[in-house]
Amino acid sequence: MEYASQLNNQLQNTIALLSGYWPEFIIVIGLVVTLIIDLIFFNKEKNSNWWIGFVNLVFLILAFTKQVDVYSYFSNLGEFMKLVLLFAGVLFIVFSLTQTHQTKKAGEYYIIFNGLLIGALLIAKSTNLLVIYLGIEMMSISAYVLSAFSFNKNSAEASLKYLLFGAVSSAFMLFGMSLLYGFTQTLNINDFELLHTVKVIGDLPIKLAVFMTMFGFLFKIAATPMHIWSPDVYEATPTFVVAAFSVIPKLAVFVLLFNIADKFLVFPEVELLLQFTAILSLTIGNFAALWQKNAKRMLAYSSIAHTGFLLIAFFANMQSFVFYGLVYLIMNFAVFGLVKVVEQKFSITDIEQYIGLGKKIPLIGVLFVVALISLTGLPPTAGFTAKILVFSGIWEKYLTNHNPVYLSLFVFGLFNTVVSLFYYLKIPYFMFIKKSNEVILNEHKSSTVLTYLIGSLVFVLILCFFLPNSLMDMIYSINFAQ
Amino acid sequence: MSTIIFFLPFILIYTIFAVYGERKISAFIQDRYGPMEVGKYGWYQTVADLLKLIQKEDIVPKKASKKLFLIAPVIIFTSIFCGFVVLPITSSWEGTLTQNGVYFLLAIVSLDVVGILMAGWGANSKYSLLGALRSVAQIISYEIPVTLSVLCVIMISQSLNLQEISYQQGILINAFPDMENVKNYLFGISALNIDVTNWGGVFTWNIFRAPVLIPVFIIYFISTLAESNRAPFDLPEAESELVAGFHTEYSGFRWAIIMLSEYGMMLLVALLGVILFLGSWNTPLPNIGNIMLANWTTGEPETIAGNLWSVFWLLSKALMWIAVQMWVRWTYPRLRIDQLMSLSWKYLTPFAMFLIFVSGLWRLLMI
Amino acid sequence: MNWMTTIFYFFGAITVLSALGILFTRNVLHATFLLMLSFFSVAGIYVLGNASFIGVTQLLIYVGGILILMVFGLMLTTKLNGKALVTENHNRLIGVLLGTVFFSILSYIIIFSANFEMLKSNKTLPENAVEFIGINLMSNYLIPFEIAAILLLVALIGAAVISEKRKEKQE
Repeated sequence: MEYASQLNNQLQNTIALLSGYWPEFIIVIGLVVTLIIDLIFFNKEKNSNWWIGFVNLVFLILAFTKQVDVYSYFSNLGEFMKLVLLFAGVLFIVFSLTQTHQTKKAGEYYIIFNGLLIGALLIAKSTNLLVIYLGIEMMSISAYVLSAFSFNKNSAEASLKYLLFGAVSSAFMLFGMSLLYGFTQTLNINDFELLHTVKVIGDLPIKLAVFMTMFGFLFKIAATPMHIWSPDVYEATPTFVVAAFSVIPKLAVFVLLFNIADKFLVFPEVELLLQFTAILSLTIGNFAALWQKNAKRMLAYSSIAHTGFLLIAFFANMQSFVFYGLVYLIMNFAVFGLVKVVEQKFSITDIEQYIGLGKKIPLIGVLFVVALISLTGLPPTAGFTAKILVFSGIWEKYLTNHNPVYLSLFVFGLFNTVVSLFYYLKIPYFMFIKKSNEVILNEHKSSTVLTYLIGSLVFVLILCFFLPNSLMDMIYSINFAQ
Repeated sequence: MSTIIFFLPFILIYTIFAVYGERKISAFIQDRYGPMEVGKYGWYQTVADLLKLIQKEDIVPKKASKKLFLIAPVIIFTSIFCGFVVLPITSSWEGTLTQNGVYFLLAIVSLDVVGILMAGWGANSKYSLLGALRSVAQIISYEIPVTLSVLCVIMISQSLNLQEISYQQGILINAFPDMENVKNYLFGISALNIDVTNWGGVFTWNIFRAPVLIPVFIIYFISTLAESNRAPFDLPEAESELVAGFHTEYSGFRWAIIMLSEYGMMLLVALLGVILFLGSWNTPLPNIGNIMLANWTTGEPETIAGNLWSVFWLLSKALMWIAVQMWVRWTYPRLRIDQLMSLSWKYLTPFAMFLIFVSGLWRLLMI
Repeated sequence: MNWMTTIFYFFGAITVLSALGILFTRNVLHATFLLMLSFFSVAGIYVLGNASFIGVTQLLIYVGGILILMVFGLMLTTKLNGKALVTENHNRLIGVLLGTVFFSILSYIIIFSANFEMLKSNKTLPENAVEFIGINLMSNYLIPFEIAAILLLVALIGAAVISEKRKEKQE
């Protein structure tokens, strides 16, 4: 039977493909092991956080080392960003491990986070519509659940909002994908020949399909028209989870955008849509952040604005994007970690309550200042280097093709950097400068390990400003041509 | 050829006899008399009941949601009756949708839950609602072991086509297209190298072709009892607590339809079970040497004798199955609701999953 | 051939009409049953299109699974006070406007401006669709298949976490 030989070939191909999925596979094993350990060894009363988190950390590090192998084999952007994502995962778990008293459903917490990570890794790797959809759904469903993990009313509300918005955007995306599949008759984006399909089907339907698909992607990175969910979710979700939310899905979907860019951006409209989204995200994110009173909410808007910067970096060049993404990861983890420390020590998240904290906890105050300066993009921090790279990249792009859109991206980026200064420095202002009326806050113990961890992250931020070379070398090792 | 033509009248007649049989069997088991006044041995009792039911007033409670209440029995019956369309009756009279037969059956039968919910909710009575909720929870839970056990058979027989599964279990196996060279081995173990293709009879029934299916068969039997809301799983209609469960408020003809669908469900699961496990329309008698019992009692397909033999075997096996169901009903006490649930989720489902695994291995290594 | 077309339009009409019914009815229970009808006729269309496996799957998953869960949830959450569960709607004007605009854009683009005639593929469906689907799931689509399994596991655990929480609060 010729069918049998064909089948044999198919199976061989599948098996060959599987070797690239080792890191995901290891995480899945970790997930299942966690599930079993949690089920067998830990009752609800026992403090299982440390053990389970440790097991997860081991599996993630294993996956990370495996990913290093995979990267050295493929060395393209997707595999490099998977390394970055795994690094973020490790950071998240290390952060969570410092919370020794956290007992609420530790097993499920890590399991669902693993789900989020697997989804992100799949998105970063794949160019198959089906896998992308499943990855995005996996990421989203894990995120919906994780955002309910504070187990209070706000958290449930945020989770539900997230779910509703997410479901609608998924529906749009799925509709777009199904149209794309119908038009091109293939699920693999690399096989798309949209310009050819335009000749067959017509112009508008293809663009509609692409737009609808992009809609779902943009929702995941919280770019502006689709950002409404993020402040509520960020405010009510456990702080470390927010740190993960603001980095992992975003970077994964950006890699996806890079992977599909040469197929989807053949239409100038799609490019324009993304550029417009970048400008909108920047402006709205920054200006809305100005009025925020809650630190987490403010950082939510800040992360919307950073989506705009990442989009600009997307248009500038890959190197600047990778650099910006890495620095953004470190900055965000540092800042959210600090918010968590303050939240834990004094149980406050409102910026105005930060008044006079600089004297009480000077170390944390200083770390806060450096991290926020880095988020703004001022020297002497890596945030500055990243922004310089992005702006020089986009300026070069403008010089080569004289497209006014690039110029406006450049101008809006600069302008918004200035705007962001006002709200980022609000926290140091309240901490150090504003005179307080000696409000007495109850002080609790907080993890010193966490503070040192954040300290080292901040140190890396400064180090990357003075010695960016090693990082740049790493980035230039990526084979950007693919 | 549609088997509905056969099954619609058959269900009606069968139900009359089944109700009579149920009474007589219960009377026999519990040492009482059962019907005996109307006609000889109470033969006419069920007919009299039927006449009474048809004449009764069709009462709709005042506060019931009328549309749902009225339509519910029809939906229940229709969905169960739809299950019959895929069943083969004889070696040459098969159902529709052959490629996906079992699959369709499992899907469509689960729809009767909708009807039950409509009935329970529409009646606007607490007994009905509680009965409906219990019934639905039970049916949905037990659907899983049923589906898994059916899946085990599919793993072994490699087909969703009920007629193909039927042909595999008898001496006519080579008469089915694409199976000209397939052989049946004793206990399905090719290593034993005892070719039973020409023996036929019980040796080629699925539970003997692959003895791994015997535990599957038991799981299927238990969970289909629950599927058709039969004792010891008749909690939804536990008369000591819920009057009559979801059909408390029904009377007259609509009540009769609900009863009809309960007996229809029994027949359906019995027929499906016979097809999947007990050799379908194949004879239980094997060929022994020169005494070709199997050949004599099977007949060639497409001939009158062949059709008659196969419909005879299929129905007699199914009716035996129903008799066993009745026997179980009048022997075992009713379960408690939490026992019922834990039986399904903690015992039957995991076992069935494990058996799927074993069936897959069996298919790979043995046959 | 003609009666096939008739049946197709019949199912299509039921799908559309019951979907419209969902839109306009305010009784949630009625909406759910209308949804069932809609799913049902979609399954019918699949079967007509020679995709009986997909049709049955539609029945099994949507009608037999999701819908029953919905009805079940409805009945558990509403009290037995004799009143029907009725939805309210806000921002009616904007909703209607947005809906109409979106609908007209979609229908204009997809129905009227897409040239589907050119898409007719000469792929023939395999004789035994089940076998074909099964083999593809285990070879070409193995990775999505496994991902779906993990997705379901994670979703299941998530659902358990969220629903378990409420129980603790009550105690």
